[in-house]
Amino acid sequence: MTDITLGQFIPGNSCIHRLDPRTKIVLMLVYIVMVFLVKSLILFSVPLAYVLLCLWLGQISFSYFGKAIKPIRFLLVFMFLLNLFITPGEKTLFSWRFIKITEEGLLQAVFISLRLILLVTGASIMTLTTSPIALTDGLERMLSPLKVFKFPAHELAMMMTIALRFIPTLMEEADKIRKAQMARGADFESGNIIARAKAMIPILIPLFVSAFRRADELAMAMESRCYHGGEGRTKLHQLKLGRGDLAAVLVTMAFLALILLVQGFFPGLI
Amino acid sequence: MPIVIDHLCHTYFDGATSNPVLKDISLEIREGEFLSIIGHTGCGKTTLVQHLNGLLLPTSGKVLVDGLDTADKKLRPAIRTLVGMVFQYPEYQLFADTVREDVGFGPKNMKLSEEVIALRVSEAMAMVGLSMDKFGEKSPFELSGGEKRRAALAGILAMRPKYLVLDEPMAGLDPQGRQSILAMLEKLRQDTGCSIIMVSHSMEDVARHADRILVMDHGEVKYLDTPKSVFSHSEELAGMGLSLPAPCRVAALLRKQGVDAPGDICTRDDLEAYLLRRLKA
Ligand SMILES: Nc1ncnc2c1ncn2[C@@H]1O[C@H](COP(=O)(O)OP(=O)(O)OP(=O)(O)O)[C@@H](O)[C@H]1O
Ligand SMILES: [Mg+2]
Repeated sequence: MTDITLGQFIPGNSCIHRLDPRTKIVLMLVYIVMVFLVKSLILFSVPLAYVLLCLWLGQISFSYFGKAIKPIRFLLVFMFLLNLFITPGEKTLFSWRFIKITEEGLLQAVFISLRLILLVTGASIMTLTTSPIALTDGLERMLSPLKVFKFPAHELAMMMTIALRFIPTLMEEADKIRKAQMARGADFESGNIIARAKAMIPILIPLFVSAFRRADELAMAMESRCYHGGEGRTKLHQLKLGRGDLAAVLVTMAFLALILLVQGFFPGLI
Repeated sequence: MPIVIDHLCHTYFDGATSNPVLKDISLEIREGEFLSIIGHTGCGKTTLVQHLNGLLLPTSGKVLVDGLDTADKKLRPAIRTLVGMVFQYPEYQLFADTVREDVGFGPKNMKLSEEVIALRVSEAMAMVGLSMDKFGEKSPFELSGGEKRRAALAGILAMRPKYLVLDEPMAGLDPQGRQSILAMLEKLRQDTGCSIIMVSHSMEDVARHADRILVMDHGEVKYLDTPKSVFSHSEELAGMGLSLPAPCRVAALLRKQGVDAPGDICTRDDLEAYLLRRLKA
């Protein structure tokens, strides 16, 4: 369970870590657009270079690239095969009975896989370098203009913060309950899918009960310290955009421009 | 046959860091004995007892329960019926619709017949002092904290373990609740001859009930002996952040005042008997 990279945070003080969370959120969206704009194999090197640059600047070991992909490896293989076999096309590369692989299919499969890999690794870089607190802070600020329409930006951010805070606690608790039920002879490892799903009940019920109890206690503890939502609440850490943020935006725009230029004006190059 | 722990080491790995918690522990838990485990917070007591039924596996070394190796996956169901484990807050494992069903969860996993399960459930509930008529059909979530604790304990007792492991079973109970659980354990041991292995922070309870005490310090065995001889090492224990039982401390204070209280007083009964003798003399 500890192998999941997406959503994990590695504390640090690199220039990427120090960027404003809002910048990082926006740039991640730009990056996603960038990945989807790429229409040729060679140009995939641009977002790839961008990811590697971010990893390097963020002082994250390149092995995280592999760790980020590991949890989605089955999805990757599945998507690759699905696209390989079902994409219709003219140039047949290989055919045997009802199986037919076309050049278009192969290309499509490679594209999809590359996109998935780049999306997951890019998104992991953001969570790896941004503490969950900073992330929700950034989201809250970005959503706060919507408060005019009664959108509960602060409440939403607070909910996210609390949820993130309690994930490790709940995992620990689930482990304890699992052990306690195993001590009573519960078997989670054998049987078919239905039997296994049923075997989870003795874990899930106590887990939910304790989660609700915790939620109740937390709400009580917050209220007894006079928490009453976001109105008039000030922040301990004020978010401020700096020169680093400007630089990050410019660099990202340069990468995006490169793709647009090459695809728009020099299609012959690729 | 006993539980044999042979050069047991356990290391927790998380991510890049490794945390050696148990360092080369060898000991034997005898049949029918009351063994107490004490030690400062974080010294590895919980980690040690979770090895006794294969919930954790040794990083190196071996744990043999009646000759069955916990590392062998096929033997684990057998080991888990031999060794019953009660966790620190056992009430959080309650899940079924009724107390009766919850207590029957263990026996059901042992694939016993319906009649045998029913028998064991009513027996176990009687043992912990929950009457079947009043509590049997109640939801476990409607019970009070102490009653939940009893119900959870009954869930283990219904499996009739030969070794009953309890990890701080009395944490958060009132004095009467503690006493009744301890009395229940004593009675259980007399009736069934099972061994009891109890992790506890209450020196008084440990001194009073244990046949032997295992003192752990930073993942190592410091002492494994009778209460009287363990508590005679008062300075060493204090150095490990452990206190002496109150009667021991009283005797030590008396000695400091020049009264010749003997060194082997460690339970309230010892102290009472000694004081009575002194007063009569
Ligand atoms: N699942 C785990 N993963 C990593 N480290 C752990 C885990 N469980 C315990 N530890 C570490 O192992 C050490 C011993 O823990 P353990 O729970 O065995 O202590 P303990 O003697 O039972 O303490 P207490 O008296 O507080 O219950 C602690 O330093 C703890 O941080
Ligand atoms: Mg413990």
